[in-house]
Amino acid sequence: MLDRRLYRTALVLAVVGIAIAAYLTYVHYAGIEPACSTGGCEVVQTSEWADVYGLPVALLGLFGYLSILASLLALRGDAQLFVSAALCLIGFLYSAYLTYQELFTIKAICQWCVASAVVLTLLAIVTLWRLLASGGKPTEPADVG
Amino acid sequence: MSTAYTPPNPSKRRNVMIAALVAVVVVVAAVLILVSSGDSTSENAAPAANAPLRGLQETNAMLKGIPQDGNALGEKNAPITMIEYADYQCPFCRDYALNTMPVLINDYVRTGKLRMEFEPLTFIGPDSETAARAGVAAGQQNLEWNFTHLFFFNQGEERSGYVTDAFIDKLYAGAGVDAAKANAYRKTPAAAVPIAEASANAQKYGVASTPSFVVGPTGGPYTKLEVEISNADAFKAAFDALLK
Repeated sequence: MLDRRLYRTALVLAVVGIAIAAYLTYVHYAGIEPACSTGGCEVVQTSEWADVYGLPVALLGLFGYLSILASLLALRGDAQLFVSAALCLIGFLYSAYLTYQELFTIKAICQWCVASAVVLTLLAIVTLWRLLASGGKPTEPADVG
Repeated sequence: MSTAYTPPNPSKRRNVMIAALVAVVVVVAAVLILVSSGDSTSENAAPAANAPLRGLQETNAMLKGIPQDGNALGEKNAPITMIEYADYQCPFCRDYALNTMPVLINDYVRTGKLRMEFEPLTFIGPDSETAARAGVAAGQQNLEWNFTHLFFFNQGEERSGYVTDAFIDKLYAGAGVDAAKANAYRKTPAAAVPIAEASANAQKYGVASTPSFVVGPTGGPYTKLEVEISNADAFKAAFDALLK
């Protein structure tokens, strides 16, 4: 019951993440300013940390969220628990690093990036919770449906 | 606290898997963080200092006969002034400078209706600071606009370290700047003063992206112009509204 609720929460969070990352990717390629009330979005999006070898971080985030959603939908049992938790934790650590750079190096805050960091934090909590809550139980072959 | 019997094998296997998961997560996250801050190791194609200078004809044609004073272009007594906040490394600033700005200069600056000022921001990286100082030094000879426009024509990949002394010398030569004088000036603390002022002014106007523009009657007050940078007609509409 709990697991089902956590699973649904993770799905919703992944979709929210996709929406945020898709918007930021669109903004990046359209060359427009993101709708931004903190005033720092484009400073952040055009900073040194906004791309990884030419790949915009927004697009990387979009791939990340799509992978998380895919792992939740396509995988079953332990594979689903482990892969989704691994993806979410990687995303969480990376977004924590980016948020750190925003606060202390770029000194500008992009609300969309913070929103994405919050979504990834929640996703990491939810998927890790699912993984640990299922701990010790033998894996159920009945999961195939 | 588990009281129920759990088979030892799956649980043990699980602990190993969780350990493996933590290891994978830490390694992948560390790699991502390392590559995303890889600043100086960029393999981007910086324009070689000996590559031919682009845009000389266009720059000269655009600016010919228009008075310059430091960072300003156009008649001193033009009724309205637009101040641009730009980073020399920013590709959108180049797009604006090469595509939209020439139309505005031809229709409004050349005709004495508008004065333009250029304020350099340097948030992209150290090359922005080098370029901004070089621009300020060109402004000492009232050739900042020639230098800046040539810079945008020859702009390289962001943060690739292409703004070298040789690159600046090449632009100075094209812009007609006395390079010996300008190179001495751009390394003095005085060259950083207009850059610090630009940054302070940008904050005052709430500028968070480049290029950004403020416009108003010459001498102020100026207000931020919210337009699509590729849309010359939107700029013109804003100017016309102020000129009425």
